[in-house]
Amino acid sequence: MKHLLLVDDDRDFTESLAELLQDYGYRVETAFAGEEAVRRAGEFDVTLMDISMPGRDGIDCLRAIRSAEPAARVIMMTGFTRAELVEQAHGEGAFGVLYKPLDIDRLLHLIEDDTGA
Amino acid sequence: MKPRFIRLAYAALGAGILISAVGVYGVVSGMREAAYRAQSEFRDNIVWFAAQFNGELAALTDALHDHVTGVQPDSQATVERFDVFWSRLDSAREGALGRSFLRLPGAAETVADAAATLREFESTVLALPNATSDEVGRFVGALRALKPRLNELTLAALASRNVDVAAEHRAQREGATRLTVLLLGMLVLGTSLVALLLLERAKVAALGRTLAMRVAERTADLAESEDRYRTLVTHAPEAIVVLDAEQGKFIEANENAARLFGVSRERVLECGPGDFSPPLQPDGRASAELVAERVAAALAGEVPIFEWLHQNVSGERIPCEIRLVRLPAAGRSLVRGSITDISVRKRHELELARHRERLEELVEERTRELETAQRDLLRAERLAAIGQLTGTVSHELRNPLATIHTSSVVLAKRLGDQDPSVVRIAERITRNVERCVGIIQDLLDYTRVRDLELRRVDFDAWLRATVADIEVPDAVTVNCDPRSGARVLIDPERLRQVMVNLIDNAALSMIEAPGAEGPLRIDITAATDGERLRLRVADSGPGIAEERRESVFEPLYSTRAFGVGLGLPLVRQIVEQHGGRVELEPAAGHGAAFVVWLALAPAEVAPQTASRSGGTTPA
Repeated sequence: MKHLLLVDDDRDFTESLAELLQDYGYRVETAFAGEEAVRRAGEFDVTLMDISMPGRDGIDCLRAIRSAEPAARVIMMTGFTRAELVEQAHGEGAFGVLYKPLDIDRLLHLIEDDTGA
Repeated sequence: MKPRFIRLAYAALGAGILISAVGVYGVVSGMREAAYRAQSEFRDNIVWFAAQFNGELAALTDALHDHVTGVQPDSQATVERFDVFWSRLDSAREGALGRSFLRLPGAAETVADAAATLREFESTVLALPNATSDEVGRFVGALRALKPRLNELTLAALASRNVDVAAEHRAQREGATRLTVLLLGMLVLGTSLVALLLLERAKVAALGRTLAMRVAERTADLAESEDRYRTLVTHAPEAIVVLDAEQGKFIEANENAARLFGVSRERVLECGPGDFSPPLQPDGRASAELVAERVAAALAGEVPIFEWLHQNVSGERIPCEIRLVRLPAAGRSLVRGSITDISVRKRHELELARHRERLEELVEERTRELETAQRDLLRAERLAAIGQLTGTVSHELRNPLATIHTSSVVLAKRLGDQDPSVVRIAERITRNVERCVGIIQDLLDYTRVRDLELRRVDFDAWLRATVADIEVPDAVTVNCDPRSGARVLIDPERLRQVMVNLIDNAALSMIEAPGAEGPLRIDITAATDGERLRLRVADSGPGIAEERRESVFEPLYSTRAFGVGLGLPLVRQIVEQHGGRVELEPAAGHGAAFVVWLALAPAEVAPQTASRSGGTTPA
């Protein structure tokens, strides 16, 4: 059973996604700011993190996590559909980038790492 | 001639007239005075004369009587002598009494002569031996009867006249003096008249000479002036003619006129205006009528200036400007015409008009371009505004949508087993979330124009594959039959959006149409048309109302119950980005048909990236 961390400043979303993933049998923890994810980098199998957050934004946190734990698997989410954000996230070593609303199937594939990526 | 002499001559003339008048007055008054004075003297003289005469006559008669009683005289000769006597006596009497008193001495002489005659007669009578006594007796009787008659006559004459002979002589002398004065006056008068005549003649002669001189001068002046004017006319830049309005012929023409009409000057002078004009002027009026009108105006003192079409001898028509003016000429109606060839001016005017027209066209063209640019700018501004908003709204909407979506999935998962309708409800939520996302995506696509990634494709194959992948409601049949055989340079993904939007638009317009029934069809065809590819998407729906046709490509204009109205604007944006054009076919019966024009791929052009602004409209 994989241990997931959800990081998003939108509490309703975080909560609903956590419920969904729990229903799929994952152990899910949530956070509402990137700082926590950075602090606890390495504790989770997969981190799902929003790119646009107040304070320290997702890309910055991703960079920090990746520098602390180069093997960390971080999936980024965004409400923006700007291609440069996606590229940037990939550049910083994101395991995957998903647009909101999430394609649930794709999310599950990414978490299970059976996308072939 | 000096006027002093003239004055002198006139003074002499005046004096002569004065003197003559004095003379005339003297003569007349002297005669009257003398007549009165002579009257009494004359009477005495006559008395004396009568006494003498009677005495003589008595003596004669007595002697005759004596003779007759004694001898026979030659009666014939005696009678002749008496005849002479009587004629002399008559003459004396006439002279003394019947005419002027100045003849009185003459009368006396006549009487003396008569007496002498009588005396001679006496001797003759005395010598006559042969007279019969009867004859002599008759003669003497007559002679005696004569005596009282003569006396009677003389006395009667004396009674009628009273003449003073001495006074008459005085008067004669005074009269002579007065006559002399008169004659003198006449002489002076005559002399001065002659002098005056001479003077006047001299003056006239001098005047004549001056006149001749001046005439010569003026003639020279005139000749010079005429030369000058001739030079002016001959070398004037315009054609100049002088028309005799009564004869209708030119009487003067310069070389330019001859050149204009294409004939010799001599020939021009045999012609009139009609010979060098077409029958009708450009305004459709008869040349002859117009000529008469203009010439009449000029003769009336106006200076008409007008345009005229001349025709030279080779039939070539020459637009001219004519100025007419009446020329001073006694007894003739002369009009000068100054003719300027304005062909060049006309040509320039025409060119100018053409240039102006072209300029206007250019201005219109530029205005249209400007309007287009302004419209584009407005659209770009609106796009920018929408883009800015969309960027924010998109993100802000995607988060709650994501929550709704995720929650519905959770709901379906947790409750779907117990109540299958929950799954359907969850699916509906998800579908509508996707629809919202679609709208957001449209907005994003429309407001964030991306560069094209052009690829050379076989259009027909690409279209079939693309259309096949686009989902449509079950009620709608899509019939895709492209036959262009064309290769085009397109961004397949972007052009796919065009097809999606066109098909969605057609399908939804048919389905949403009130009372939509029967087969709902979308027919898609493609063909080449010259250098272009023509893609047509037609539906069998209600079509687009006339008042909406203008606006279908405007952003945020939608007639659909659900939609933000970005589908067709996006279609246009993408097509134009490809350098193509999209248009709504004119309404014809049912349905709406959109036509997309795209450029065919150049034969050997490598795939490239075209920027939005780099697109050009195909010819």
